[in-house]
Amino acid sequence: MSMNIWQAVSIISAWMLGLSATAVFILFLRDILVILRIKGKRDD
Amino acid sequence: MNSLITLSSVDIAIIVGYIGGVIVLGVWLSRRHKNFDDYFLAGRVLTAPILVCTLVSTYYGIDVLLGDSELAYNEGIVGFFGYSMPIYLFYLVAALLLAKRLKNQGFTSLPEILMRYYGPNTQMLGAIASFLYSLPALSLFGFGLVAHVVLGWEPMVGAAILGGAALVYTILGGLWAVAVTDAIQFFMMCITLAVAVPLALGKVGGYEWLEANLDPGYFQFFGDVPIWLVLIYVMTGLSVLVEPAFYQRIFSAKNAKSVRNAMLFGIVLWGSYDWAVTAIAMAAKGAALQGILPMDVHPNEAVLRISVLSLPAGLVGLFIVGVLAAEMSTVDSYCLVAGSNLSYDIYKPRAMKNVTDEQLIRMTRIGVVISWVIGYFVAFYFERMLALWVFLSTLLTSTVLVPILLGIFCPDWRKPLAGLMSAVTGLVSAILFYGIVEWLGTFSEENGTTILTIITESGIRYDIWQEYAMLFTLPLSLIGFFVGLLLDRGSEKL
Repeated sequence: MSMNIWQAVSIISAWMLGLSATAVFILFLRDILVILRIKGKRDD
Repeated sequence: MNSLITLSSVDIAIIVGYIGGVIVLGVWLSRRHKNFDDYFLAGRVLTAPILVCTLVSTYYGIDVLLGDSELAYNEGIVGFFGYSMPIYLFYLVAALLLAKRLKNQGFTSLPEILMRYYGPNTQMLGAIASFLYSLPALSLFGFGLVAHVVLGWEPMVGAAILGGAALVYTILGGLWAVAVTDAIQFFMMCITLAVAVPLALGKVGGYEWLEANLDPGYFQFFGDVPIWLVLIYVMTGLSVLVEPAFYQRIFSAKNAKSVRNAMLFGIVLWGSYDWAVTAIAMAAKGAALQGILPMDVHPNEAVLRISVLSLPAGLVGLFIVGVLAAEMSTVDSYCLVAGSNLSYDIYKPRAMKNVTDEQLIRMTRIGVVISWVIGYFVAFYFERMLALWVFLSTLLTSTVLVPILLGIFCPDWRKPLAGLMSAVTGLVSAILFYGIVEWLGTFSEENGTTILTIITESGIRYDIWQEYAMLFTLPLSLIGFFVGLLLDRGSEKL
């Protein structure tokens, strides 16, 4: 049975939202830790 | 006080933990800035992933979750195709044409652009328009609504507690605190909405049931909404090109490439988020038809209510945190911008003596508090708050759009009188337009706006909505600019 087109779009967009947000958040954590470490050293 | 749901202890722990967590983070980050650039622009070192988080979460507050979902609830997919999608075009223009030009000129704030291009008078007008636009009234009102619907609190109390948390960490930590909390808020709001989509659709039998039972107009790209109304929606997107919080992100970026990439990736996330809101809103319509939600449920609340009904305990707490997060990330950013408008843009250039960074940070903190307090009182003592926000958005766009864009793209036209006349005509015409329509028109409950009806002698009827303002104000601002340019032949460009 084929899936309704709007149902498919909605499920894809939900996955895209969840996965993209997770990926960006992981990259954010990487960058913020580097920045805070560099900044901490500079301030010391 | 009656809340929509009974929260489990896990849900309550998640909500309390989140609010406490962001305040602690703000306190911790408050020791990390040494000068005004550190406080207001996070040292200008923000990378693309950090910018994505703060851009997406700042723009998408409860107004999207509640306001945009109302259109999808009432009209269907036009909420996405007619309203949200055209605005991505402006994001694209901003990413590809504006970001690099603005970043490379080393500005600190939007009004500062006007100062350098046209001098202090135009800058002053831009600073006032930016301050009024950035007042967090709509966001605090949204906090009150969510606190009332979901937690059962009095709206004023809810806004004071939840908005107060955002105020505390913004005052203490500046853009560092805003950016870091924005990232957490970004993650929460995206994940919880992504989880809510399949659950809400599943609750009503998916799109198969919706397509079989909703009016066919719900599945037409532009629905039953007249094309001219879609055009008006699109025009509201022009404000993206002069968004003070967006400009602040550009100035705080590590380099032009970071902000361009962040904007481009942000469009993917905004698109997914908008469609998720549209899908849940349509599921809510189905739920109302099936009796799962009351038929008279307010379209504003429908997305919240169907999501909360669909999610299991624990996830409900996370979803509520996601909703609060969407709003906190908006309140904090605009408070900071409004605070800096008072300190950096209005006070500093007119101070009689040199202002140190320490004094400027203190002044900005006071400005943040002032903007929050004004926003709070406007939110609860001004009846037609949404109309006020549309007016202030029109005021900002009408005042600064023409001088800023022409100044960026046509350096030879940066003449003081051109900028001033453009800003003054834009500002005055916006006030006059709204004043005349408000005074002579009548408020339409059906359309939620004031309309001035003119019937000509030959019987032709014209309905002029307040939302049409920019159709008049932007051309007038453009004419003002060129008149000023012609009259200002004598002076050198700044």
